[in-house]
Amino acid sequence: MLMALLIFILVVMGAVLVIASGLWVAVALVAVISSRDRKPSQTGLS
Amino acid sequence: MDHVFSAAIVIAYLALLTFVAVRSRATQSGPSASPIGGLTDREFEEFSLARRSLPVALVFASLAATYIGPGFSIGFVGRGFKSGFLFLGIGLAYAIQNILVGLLIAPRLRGLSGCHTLGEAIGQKYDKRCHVLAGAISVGLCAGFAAVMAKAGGEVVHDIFGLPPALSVILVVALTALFPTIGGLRANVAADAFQFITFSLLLPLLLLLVLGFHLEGGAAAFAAQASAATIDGFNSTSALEIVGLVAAFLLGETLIPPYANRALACRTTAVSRNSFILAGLFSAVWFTVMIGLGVAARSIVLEDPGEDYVLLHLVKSTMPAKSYALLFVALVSVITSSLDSLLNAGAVAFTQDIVKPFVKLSDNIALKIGRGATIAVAAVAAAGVVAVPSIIGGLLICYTIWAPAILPTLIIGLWIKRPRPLAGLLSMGVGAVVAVTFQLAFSSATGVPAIIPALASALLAYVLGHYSSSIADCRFPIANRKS
Repeated sequence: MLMALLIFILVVMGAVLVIASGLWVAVALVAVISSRDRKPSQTGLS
Repeated sequence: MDHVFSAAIVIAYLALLTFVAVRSRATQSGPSASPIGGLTDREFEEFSLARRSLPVALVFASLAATYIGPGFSIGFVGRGFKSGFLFLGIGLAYAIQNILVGLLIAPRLRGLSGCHTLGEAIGQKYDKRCHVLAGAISVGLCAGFAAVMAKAGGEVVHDIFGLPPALSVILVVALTALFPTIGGLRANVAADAFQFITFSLLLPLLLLLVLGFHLEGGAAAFAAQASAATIDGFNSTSALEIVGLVAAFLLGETLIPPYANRALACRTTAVSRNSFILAGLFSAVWFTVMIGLGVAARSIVLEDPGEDYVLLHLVKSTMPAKSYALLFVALVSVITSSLDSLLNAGAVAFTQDIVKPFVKLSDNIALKIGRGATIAVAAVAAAGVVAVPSIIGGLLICYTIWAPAILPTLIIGLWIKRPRPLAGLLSMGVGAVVAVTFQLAFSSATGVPAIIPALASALLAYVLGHYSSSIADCRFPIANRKS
């Protein structure tokens, strides 16, 4: 039963991590496409 | 009504994708960029490498969006359905490969100055002949991989909209070729990042919805299905097959041209290293989610729909009809983000590795050739769809050729002090010929995956070439120095 729960939690955690990666990239992409008139920044996002 | 809704979703998605790609091109930075993002005298540098200014989040997303094609999404869900977590173990070889590339190879590649392509890196380490041969292999392989992606894209459009297969393929390839043709690598990477966001939100959400609301029996039922499927998988797959699959996943896609371009386009060597390591870690998590979807589908999709259709049937069985448009958007993102990267990489390799070594090109002409080559690679890919046996089958053929033909030459060349051109030429030639011959003539008869003998032959040819050149250097040092 414990093993079953562990596998289930692992898969759910995986889904949450993938969604979190998608949100991280979304933030970076918005920063890039909204930086038109700025000088290149030091943050690595423009 | 559903069709109107689907069409509206797809049009909105394409409009947003176009906006992101165009906007990213307008924001190009660098000393020679014009304020409106128009033509500049260094445009080919922008087209091919985005002025080496890409940050870690975008390179990571672009790498992930490129490697997550139909095989790593639709294919893995189907494999999860049939063989449970067996394929997660095999997929981990892919994660390890990316991490090793990040630690050992990508920073060295980025450290080379003036390189636009893998062929140029090989040319810098060996000589012009090796450069051109590596370029020819790169262009051929990009067209081959692109044909597989075009087939997958055509199948999705055909299944969902009922358009004729040939028209579906042409539509997918033509629309996908727009961004790399007009905007080069920067628009390509931005489109990849947008597509990454789309599928990395939609597909895990689907898994969470299925696990939360459609799975009868909860965690215990899921684990029981996972265990039964994994046992089935081990029973139906021979040890030799597993070794071949692990070899293909470990080596087959290592630094194929789109990945090499991204390693070269990073802002620094550290960005290059970290992007590949992150992409490797992400692949392990992604495979877990895809396999999880496949295992969950076993208690929902009761009849075996065929490996490539498990995901479609799972969505049909669990989601309202309107959500089909969202699935279409996710699948098209998965496929086109790989296809556009392959088209751009093939075009850059053609210009830089096949044309430039023989003809001196102004930057403007190089850009025009690059754009023309993008369209040509797209046309070859669309025409080549008829020769693709299946999605996974087509990918395995490409892996089988790429790994032996390029990897020994590239990896050894980056690590040893004085690589010999003869070794590179022999290894690439022998690796490619043995891979194609064995795949066509002996692989199905012997059951031995062609990648293994081809890789062994390429390594042996490299060693022979290296030592025969060393001996010749010792015997005729002056003559060899002059040549």
